[in-house]
Amino acid sequence: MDVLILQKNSIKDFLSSLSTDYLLWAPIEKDGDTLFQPLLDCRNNSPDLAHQAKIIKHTIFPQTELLYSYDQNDQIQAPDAQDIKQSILFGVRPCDARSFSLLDPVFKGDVPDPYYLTRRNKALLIGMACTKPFSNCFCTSVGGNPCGQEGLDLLCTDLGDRYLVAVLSEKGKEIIDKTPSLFIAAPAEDIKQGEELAQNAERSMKRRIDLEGVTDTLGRIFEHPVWKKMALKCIGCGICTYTCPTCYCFDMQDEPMAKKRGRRVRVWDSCMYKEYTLHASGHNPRPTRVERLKNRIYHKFKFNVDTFGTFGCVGCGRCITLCPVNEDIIENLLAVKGTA
Amino acid sequence: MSVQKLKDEAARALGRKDVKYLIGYKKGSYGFRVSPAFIEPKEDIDQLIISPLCNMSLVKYVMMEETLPGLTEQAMKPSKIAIVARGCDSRAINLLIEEKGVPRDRLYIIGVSCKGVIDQRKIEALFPQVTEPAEVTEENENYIISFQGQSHTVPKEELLAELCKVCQYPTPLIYDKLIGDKLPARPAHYDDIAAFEALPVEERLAYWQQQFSKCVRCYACRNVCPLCYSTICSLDSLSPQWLRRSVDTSENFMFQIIRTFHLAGRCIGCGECERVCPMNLPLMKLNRKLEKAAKELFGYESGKDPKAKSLLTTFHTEDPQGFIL
Amino acid sequence: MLRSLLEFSGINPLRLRMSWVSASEGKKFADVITEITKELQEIGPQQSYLREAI
Repeated sequence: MDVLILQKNSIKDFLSSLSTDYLLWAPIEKDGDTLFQPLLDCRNNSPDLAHQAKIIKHTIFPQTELLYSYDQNDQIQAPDAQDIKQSILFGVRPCDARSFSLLDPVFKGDVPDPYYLTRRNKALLIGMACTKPFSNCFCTSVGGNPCGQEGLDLLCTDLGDRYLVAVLSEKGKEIIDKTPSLFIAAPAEDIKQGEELAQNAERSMKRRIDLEGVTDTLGRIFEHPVWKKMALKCIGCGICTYTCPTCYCFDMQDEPMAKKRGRRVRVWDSCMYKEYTLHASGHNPRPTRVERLKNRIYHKFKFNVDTFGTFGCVGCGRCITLCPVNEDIIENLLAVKGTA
Repeated sequence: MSVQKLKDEAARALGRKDVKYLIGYKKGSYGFRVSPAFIEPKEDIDQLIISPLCNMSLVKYVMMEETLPGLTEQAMKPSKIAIVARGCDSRAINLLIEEKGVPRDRLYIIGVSCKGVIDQRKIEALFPQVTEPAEVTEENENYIISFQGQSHTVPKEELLAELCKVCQYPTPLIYDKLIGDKLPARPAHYDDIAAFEALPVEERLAYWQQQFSKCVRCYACRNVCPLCYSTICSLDSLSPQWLRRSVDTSENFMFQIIRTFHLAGRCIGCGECERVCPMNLPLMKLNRKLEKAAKELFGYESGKDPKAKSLLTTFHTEDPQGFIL
Repeated sequence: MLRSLLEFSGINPLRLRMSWVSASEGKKFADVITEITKELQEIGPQQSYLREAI
């Protein structure tokens, strides 16, 4: 594996060269918020690498996606995969990179999802190592690492005035080879500095929880009263599911458009909404917030383990930071452990 | 304001035979957060707090009581919810009572006079990435902020929520018991709205198109609003369907305008919608615009009195009619 | 109230009109529609917040 150095003042050149052939996504600050957006003018706009971008999955799994359109003559038109541009996601945190690896088995199931897979296969991930984890990060508790390489094509580590760049895949190598003059081989001291930063980052993770045995405990406490107390403050708003990089629930809707045309779209949905499990008969198997909050925790920490062998959570902490009423998944998991 | 006085009142409230549980504030799980506390009789009162960090409204929970289908006799017994309410909260309660959303005798209100709360975004910008639990007290016109063994003094102006700066009723207008001094009512201010109204239409349009394009339709604003309690909300309804589920500027515009308009003459300015919005949309600008319109066109302020008739359900012959052709 | 809210959001308030017209007030109906049509033609079609075409 090659490890290279990219000077920070060469970043604009690097990104500019990529933006000709690729749709370049990066965390961009706007009105005090950092969001993953297309980076259009690399010369004049810089990514915001200091803050956690609120949502990332829309880059590969858009919030509203056209499935097909139809007209009055029953002609159906699906979007053309050729129209989806190759994309590069720049500044991806290791937890978010891992999250795509957790979404993949869902969309690669019995019937592979071409909408997700086309974008996924055309996307390249350039990571930014978390040398300073955020206040609610707990990636190490769910099998992640602040400077982890899983799912990334390149991983950059900030060394001050330059980045250490680890080349992790063929795709990553191709990108480097487009502007080889910007990179030099990393000297041993820089590689060592990168390793030290990674170790410090792991140590400085402020929130931790030992999840050993939690899946088994969940298997036993479905009717336990702990869930009622936990769900009382939840307002069922869906912010946790929308910002969660591993949540993928969606709805499909048919919409008539102008000129006798129509379309079917896929839109994000949330298991925290009452309507999510509302049957046509009027029956709702998850009628209150208790059942819905319980389901979310079960999905992430038991059902995902049962089906795919890993927790369905990457420990990014967004649900904790952005929840308006301080529903804290770590606190909730501690309560679960407390029942054992 | 004395936390001990609040705890004493809370203990008295929970000692009453007719109070089922109490909704108050407790320390959050990290940093500057505060969490709602649902305390049943015989549970620990000491977790209750009241401080400038208590920047969320608890009134929402009054309307969120859920029971599984098939009410039991136990659930139907008349019982009260005790609730800690600040000035804005009390206006929401007044409106809920007037609209028959909740009967007055369902609530045991512990009013607290509020000198304003801290804006979460401002304090987290000033002290970023604080995980250790923090405490804030108010002294003169400063906030004393402590965490990790350090203490910081910050002028109140820097951290006070913008809405608190234009708060009209710092002391609750309805309560069973009051904690803290009775603070005088303050005049209404709508300078920020008037300034926006004075902007040319192209600027206003560009501003809102940009804002509405950011909305992710999480529905947090609707969920957190104490006055949005319809069993079937028109913004969710599929038959009839008023709003599409697809998320784009056009649908988002309709969402926000419909929601704002359903609060016309009702919104009491707690600002929860704007506080919870994950995309930081200036939702109170829209709501305060209608607050201003209600005042100017009808001389009306919502939530002052549980017996005052609501604005849009009453008609007076002096109501402005110039817009009717 | 709705008009002032729409105007605040950048929509011309002339696009929202209201009138009381009974079924027997044929002339009034014609006058109201003529007036509204004339004013709308002057301000032109709505350009903002449009649903996208496919």
